[in-house]
Amino acid sequence: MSKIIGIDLGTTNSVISVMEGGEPAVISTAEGERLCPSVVAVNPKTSERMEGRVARRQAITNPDNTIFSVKRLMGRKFSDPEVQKATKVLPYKIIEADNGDAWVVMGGKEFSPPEISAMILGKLKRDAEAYLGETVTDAVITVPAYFNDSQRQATKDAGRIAGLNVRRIINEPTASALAYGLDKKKDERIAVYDLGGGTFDISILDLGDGVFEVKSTNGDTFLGGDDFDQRVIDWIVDEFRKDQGIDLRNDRMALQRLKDAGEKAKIELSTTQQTEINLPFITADANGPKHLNLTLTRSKLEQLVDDLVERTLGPCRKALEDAGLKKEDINEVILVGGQTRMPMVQRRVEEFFGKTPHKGINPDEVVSVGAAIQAGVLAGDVDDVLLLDVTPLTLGIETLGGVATPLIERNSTIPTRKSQVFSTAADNQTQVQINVVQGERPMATDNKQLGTFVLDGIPSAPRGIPQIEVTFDIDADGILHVSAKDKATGREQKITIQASSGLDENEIERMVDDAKRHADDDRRRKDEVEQRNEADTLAYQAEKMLRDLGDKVPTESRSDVEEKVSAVRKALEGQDLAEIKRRKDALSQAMQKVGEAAYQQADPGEAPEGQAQGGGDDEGTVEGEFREV
Amino acid sequence: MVKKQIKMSQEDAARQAPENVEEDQAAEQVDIEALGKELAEAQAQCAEYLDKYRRSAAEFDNYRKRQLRDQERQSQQLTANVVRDLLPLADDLQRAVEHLPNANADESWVQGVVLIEQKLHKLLESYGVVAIEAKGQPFDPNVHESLFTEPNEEYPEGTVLEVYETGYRLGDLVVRPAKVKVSVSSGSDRATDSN
Repeated sequence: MSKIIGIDLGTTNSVISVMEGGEPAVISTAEGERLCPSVVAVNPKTSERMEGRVARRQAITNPDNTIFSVKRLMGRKFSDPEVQKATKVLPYKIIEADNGDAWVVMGGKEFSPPEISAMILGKLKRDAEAYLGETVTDAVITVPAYFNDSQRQATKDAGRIAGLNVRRIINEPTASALAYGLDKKKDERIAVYDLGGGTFDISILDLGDGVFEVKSTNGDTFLGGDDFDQRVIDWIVDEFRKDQGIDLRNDRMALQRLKDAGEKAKIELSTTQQTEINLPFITADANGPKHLNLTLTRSKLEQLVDDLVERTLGPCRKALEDAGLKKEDINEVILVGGQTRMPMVQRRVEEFFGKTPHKGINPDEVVSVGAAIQAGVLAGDVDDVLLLDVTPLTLGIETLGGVATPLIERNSTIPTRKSQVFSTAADNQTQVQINVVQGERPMATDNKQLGTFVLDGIPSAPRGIPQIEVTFDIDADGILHVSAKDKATGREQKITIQASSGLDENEIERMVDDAKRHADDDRRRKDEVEQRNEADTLAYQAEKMLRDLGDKVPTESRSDVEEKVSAVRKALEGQDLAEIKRRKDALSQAMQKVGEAAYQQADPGEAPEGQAQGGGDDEGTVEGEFREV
Repeated sequence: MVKKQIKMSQEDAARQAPENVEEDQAAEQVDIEALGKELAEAQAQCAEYLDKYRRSAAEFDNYRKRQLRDQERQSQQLTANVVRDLLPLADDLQRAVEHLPNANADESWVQGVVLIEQKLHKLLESYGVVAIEAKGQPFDPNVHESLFTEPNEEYPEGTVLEVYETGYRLGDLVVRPAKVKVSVSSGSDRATDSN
């Protein structure tokens, strides 16, 4: 069965989402945007049809044949007062069809509102198919809670015309509640406050046994974010006139720039306390060009729009009244619509209902996300059988110098499995101890020790030669299986760790916090260990090089290198990191010289392998300078 | 008597024997039935899990392919997002140069500003960002956005008369459409603007 998409078919904009790997994801349009203007147009000359952003861009040149806000006409009779209101503000022709319905004229032809909506849905369907790479046949579409039967039927028809099997029509506020997972709660009353670009809706829902019932709705069909923008623009114009004596209202190009700048300033003030509106060369008079440079603070913006926010509270009161509820009866408040990003709106809503509203999901997309979740339930994508879990902390093993080397990173989705090849840290080391640790800190001792085991019987070999494959496998139940295998002999040891019994939520949070707090400290310690390991490796390599080259190394150079090796070893016994680094660098240089000299000789030959030494390096935990093979 | 009794009991046994067999068979039947049911359930569950597994494997595979396919587009989109934020700066510099007072045009300081504007455009070009042609072109909503219309005799209807804000594209992607004024035939009453 193919995917079912969720569609928020809005008055101004529409959004599509789909369940992907158990999570809702918004699908970008072909134009690369996360929302699609609900606009359709026909070019009168070529009869070419356009939808979405492209249709929006040509609206001014082609007002008769550009249909927007068709949602205001869906399922309504021509005589409907809402339609009569719309005919006054919409530039295209609205007519009465034979059955009394409101229809529109576009490109000289008559269309029913469902046909127009179907063109938008058709574009969304195509974009979803392009994204998913498969045919989309089924959809869940949202409608306002106040839509009556004929409006819902009209929306369903639109889907059918677009070639979509509309599996369900759900209410926009219900979709928002689903997006926040409120269906999992029981017996609650939920207020959904939806302040979009051009309309305001408040809905009171009653949730019982996972079923949402709309108790009441209210709102203002002509109040939204655009009004907030206009207040900012008016303020800029007034300030500029006070300052420069020029009225920008008469300069439509300047006004166009103000529109963009006003909206941008408003958006910025949702996250900052003040913003600069800087528009050089905004206009010109006899004295030359004029620049506009103003600072708008958040508190000034709040003064400018105070009454607009206040206007939303009346409908909230009415909705509560109609539902027969008091403010205290409301258990949850949800914010929907871009304008609810404004901190003052959030504050006022919180003050009104006395509850901190849910936010976090993009308020422009939350309705569509909820529709996708409903679609996922219908498609069987969302159920409890396949709840994917993640491992909360990083899992790894202790390696040379006490470093915690991660194998499975935190937040990996389980079941998962990862292997890495390690080696020995000393010559002739015949066993390795695998110390399994959990946590985010770079040093093993700072993390939780989960378990330990020994793999022995490794054939004697110089350090770095044996290949020990360590495998971490977390099964679907969160149980960790760790195994270590010597690739030469096939010898294997393993351990099973019940990770779930280990840490509770608090412990996990503490460990993650710890890791953040100690980050600097840890990095220093890890650096130190790394420096030491490097120095140790270099000394080892130097000795090996001398052995390999044998008498090809002039006595003088040989004693120079030997001297520097012992200097490094001596430094390693101490704690002075700078000293270790200095000695290491000196040795490295001496080795380079020897190496160059050796290569200059015509036939370097094969030096006999010297007796391996230093096998007594038994520190308990000895496992790899790790190298991936 | 005794004999008869024995015989009787033998007969009884003989009579009862088939019953016992039947009972045994019945018990076996129940066992088989229960086992069969269990098997059917297990098979159904197995089929369900296999189906879910296949679905999620397929979903992941498609997801992976999509990621690969969209990678280029995503990186293009990211560049476009950054460029879009920088464009107002290009606009302002362009305006500064356009408003260059004739009297000062030869001053080397002024020429420095002109050079800065050129440099910015070269920089944008180096990212593959090119200006969209507009003035004098037929209006194309794929790359132009109309802000105003104006009756005009000189040009055919639907011609871009003036560019208010230069548009840019990055490959096929329209970073920002050109904001333009478009001609309408002078008989038309459609001289409108967006305000």
